[in-house]
Amino acid sequence: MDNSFTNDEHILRSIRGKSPQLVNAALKYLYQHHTIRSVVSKQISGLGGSPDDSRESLHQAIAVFYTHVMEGKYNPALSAISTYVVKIAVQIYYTRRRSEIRRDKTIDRISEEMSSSIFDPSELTEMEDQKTLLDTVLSAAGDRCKRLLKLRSADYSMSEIAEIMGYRSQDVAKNAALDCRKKINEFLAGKPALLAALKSL
Amino acid sequence: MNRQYDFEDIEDYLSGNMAESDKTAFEAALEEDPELVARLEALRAEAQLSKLLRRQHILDKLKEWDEEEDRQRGGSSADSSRFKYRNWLPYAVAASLMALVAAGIFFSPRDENFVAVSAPVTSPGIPMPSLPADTIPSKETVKPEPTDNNLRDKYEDLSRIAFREDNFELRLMGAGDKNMSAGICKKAAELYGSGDYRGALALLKNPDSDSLTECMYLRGYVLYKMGKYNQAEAVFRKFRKMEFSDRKFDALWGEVFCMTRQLPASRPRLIELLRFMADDQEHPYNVRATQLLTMMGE
Repeated sequence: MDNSFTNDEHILRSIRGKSPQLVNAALKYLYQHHTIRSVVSKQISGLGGSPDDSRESLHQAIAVFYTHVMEGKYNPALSAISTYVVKIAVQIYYTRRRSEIRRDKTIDRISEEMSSSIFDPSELTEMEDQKTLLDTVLSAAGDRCKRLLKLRSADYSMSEIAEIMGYRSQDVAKNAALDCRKKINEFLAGKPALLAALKSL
Repeated sequence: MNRQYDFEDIEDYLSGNMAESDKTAFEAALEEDPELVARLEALRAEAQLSKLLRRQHILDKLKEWDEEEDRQRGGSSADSSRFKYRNWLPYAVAASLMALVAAGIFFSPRDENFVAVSAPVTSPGIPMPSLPADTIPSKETVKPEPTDNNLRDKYEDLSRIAFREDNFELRLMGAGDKNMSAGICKKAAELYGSGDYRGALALLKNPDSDSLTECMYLRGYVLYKMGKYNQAEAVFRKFRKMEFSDRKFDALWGEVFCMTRQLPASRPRLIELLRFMADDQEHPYNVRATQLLTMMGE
């Protein structure tokens, strides 16, 4: 597959197209783009973060960017993709470390910038809560179901899922997916609090 | 458990695939059966669950790509050296110089195009160090004065390689809906895109303050296209004084491609600026500056 992306519009088109291969290629391209990485790394290290912090923040930023694109929250007229991703990554790190970082001049400047930010810091808390919620729900279905449902949610076709997960045919994969969904349905139906939390997203 | 309605029935109901008579009966059952209601609500929540799964899938993929990179580097998955820019950049520079010699190309189309449209990656919280060569000759347009055809060709190559086009129309798409000033900038971008540089310049004379930097950046390009390289350079140079701007690094590169059009007169300040960028291993244009210096025999 040609993984070259000529401009932001091309990246957006690939993400919105929902082909899992194109989505992966676009996100991988962004994640591995040296300019984005170097600026994220520079800014986060300027805030006292480690290379691991930069990597973790960029992971989260790419996922947030994807969500914002799919939910129509990202406006290409207001910010280039690279700027957007860098800002989210830095803010994610900043939000995590806010209580720990000494409030020097640099931090104040960044805080000022954050006030008109594209990323609501409460999103980070929500993301962490959502991860816990997801883990709880999926624990009822088991690891194999977890993997299958993730692929299904990423728009992989049943024949692709069968190939990736080693099912004999796409029908077998389809039945396996149905079984997983039934398990989760049973589990959630018996957990009103969990169901309410999920519905409130 | 003997249930009147199974998972597939609930799915049919939600997707509108249930026959009308069955639907009436199903809805009557819902009135009587809280467990059926709970199962229906659980199935409805699949959409939210799917959203969380999709995000988790992306995070899994990112970890997978990290591992893939680590394998290529022969390191462990815990190794974060790819995020230690200072560590890997020299290798990237070396690799690109090798590719340059081998393939005779200077900038890959992929990187060129991507950065051209989306390049304003900057570090607004980190002020740039003091920059060299803050004086520009007062002549409006300094034409190259090549001594022979080979030299003229060499300067032309340098200018062509250094210049990076920007897609202002795409960047400003929809901006005109926001306010008048963004509309001016957008209109000027359209004129720039259509090659009407004089018209674009006329519009950009009165940009409003809230889109000043984008209009100013575009003005640099317009002047460049009009052959007013010295003026364009001066416009790009104004970004040096801005403490925070998305265009700061890009404008510095704007100075570079304006200087390449003023060779040989601009050579000392061009070399100085390129060295400044090449010496800063974290500068986004570090690799390009190094490449250009190599091409200039520096």
